[in-house]
Amino acid sequence: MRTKKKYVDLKIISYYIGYVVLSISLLMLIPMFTAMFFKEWDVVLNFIISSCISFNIALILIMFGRDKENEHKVEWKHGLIIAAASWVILMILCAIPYRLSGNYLSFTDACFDVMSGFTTTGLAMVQDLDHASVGFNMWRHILTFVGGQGMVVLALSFIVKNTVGSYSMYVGEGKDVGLVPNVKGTAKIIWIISMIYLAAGTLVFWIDGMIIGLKPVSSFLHGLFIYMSSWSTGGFSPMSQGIIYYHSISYEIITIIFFTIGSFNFGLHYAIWQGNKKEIFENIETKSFFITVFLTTFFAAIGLKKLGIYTGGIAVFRRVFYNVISAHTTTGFANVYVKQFAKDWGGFGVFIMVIAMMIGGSACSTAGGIKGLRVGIVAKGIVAEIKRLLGSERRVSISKFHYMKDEILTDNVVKSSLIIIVCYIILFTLETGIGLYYNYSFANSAFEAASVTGNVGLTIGVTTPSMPVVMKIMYIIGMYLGRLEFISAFALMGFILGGVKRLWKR
Amino acid sequence: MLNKKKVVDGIAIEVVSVAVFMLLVFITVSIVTR
Repeated sequence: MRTKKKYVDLKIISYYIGYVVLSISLLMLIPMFTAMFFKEWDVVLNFIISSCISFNIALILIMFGRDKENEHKVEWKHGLIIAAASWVILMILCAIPYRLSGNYLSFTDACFDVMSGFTTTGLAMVQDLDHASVGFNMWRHILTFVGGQGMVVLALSFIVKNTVGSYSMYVGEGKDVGLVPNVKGTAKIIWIISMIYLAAGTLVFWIDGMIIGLKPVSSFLHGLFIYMSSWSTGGFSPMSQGIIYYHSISYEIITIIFFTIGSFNFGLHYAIWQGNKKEIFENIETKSFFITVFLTTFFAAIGLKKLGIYTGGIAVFRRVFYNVISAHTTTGFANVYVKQFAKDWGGFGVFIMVIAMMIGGSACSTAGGIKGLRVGIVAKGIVAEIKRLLGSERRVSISKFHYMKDEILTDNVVKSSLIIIVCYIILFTLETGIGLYYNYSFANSAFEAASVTGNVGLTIGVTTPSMPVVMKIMYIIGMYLGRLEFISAFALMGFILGGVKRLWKR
Repeated sequence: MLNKKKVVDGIAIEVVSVAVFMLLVFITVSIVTR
């Protein structure tokens, strides 16, 4: 009886992770069929092998954790651990087709790219991307698209009938806005919003691709991949040059529209789609986002004007605004070459980009970073504190903010925002430190650290397959922690340490 | 759950808001960098 009870936690976690792995094994069928359609038989085989491995691991996990009683015992801690552990296990399994493709020098590089995709970062270790198969590219972009919506809850919502405690898994994946009272309904709405935009976005890119000279089939595939990357604020691209490959202002403008909308809160989309049109102008997060994007672009434009690199409004808009908003929404598309950030943008330009990358997009969206909501709350908190200090001692003032509905700005709300901000700053400092340790300049280390921590994907040239393995691992951890917003990863660490401690005592 | 007309209106509002913001930024940076 005691032995049975001892493994209850492990069984619950194993059961639900099993279903998440099962869903990934099924997801691998999409690139497999794509490869079949394009007669890429080697790639088909890669995905059959990977899917079978994942399927068998899923069965083992489900069989181990299967217990009718346990299905109803999912507690808050289990949800957080399931979310955090799933991401690690999926990283390894999803890296198998990457490694089998021959486009990676090592399994670590493949894992790096998977984590980069899942977390919608967009930093890449891939080799010879320009000649990669369609099936392989489909898998890369599916990973970033699905990662943006939150894999665990979505997988469980569609596969498992009874997801008790799924709200904790939802929070564990860094999302916290319930669109409808139950998480299953919320997950379905997130998917509906994403799929409607997927159809509309792919169509727009497809048409524009043909206008700029791509062939119909190629235009469709490029459109689909770039849309998936834009919407999920991922930053992957089917070509090694990224968005520069298209050399088209119309393509760039369309990407701006979709990655900006993609960085909005799913709650905001839902509210607007329900007829609450004013929400976009009243929401603290969108206000904060538009103000900070405006300010960062403004200061970057002034800074670069001083250096005399870009002349004229169109050049500044195209080069400065595009890269700043790409950094701010944590997308990672760049229409300047990697080294230009280091050579041409100067210290001030890099500094502004670091700030933009750290702020990030909206909470409960596909974007990363500190998030506009927290920046808005802390800014309001500072104003409220100043008012309190300057006002009469007898006067009690209540500050409010609008986030889907009017809410009171309490000390606890400000405190929880500040805790996450402090965690981001600590992580950013550690990632910068590791860059400095390996002799990269301070500007380069800070730029790359902000890109990793905020799940952005812009690079200044530090992230390459030849970088030290320790840095690769640190960046994987940085992307992971930044995306899950620390709490669930800390819960997983606590669970593992607790297990080790018990074993040690024995 | 979701009304087709409201969804189309919603997408239009989101796209137009972003486009207007882009225009505002373009005007500002054009003035600043002149």
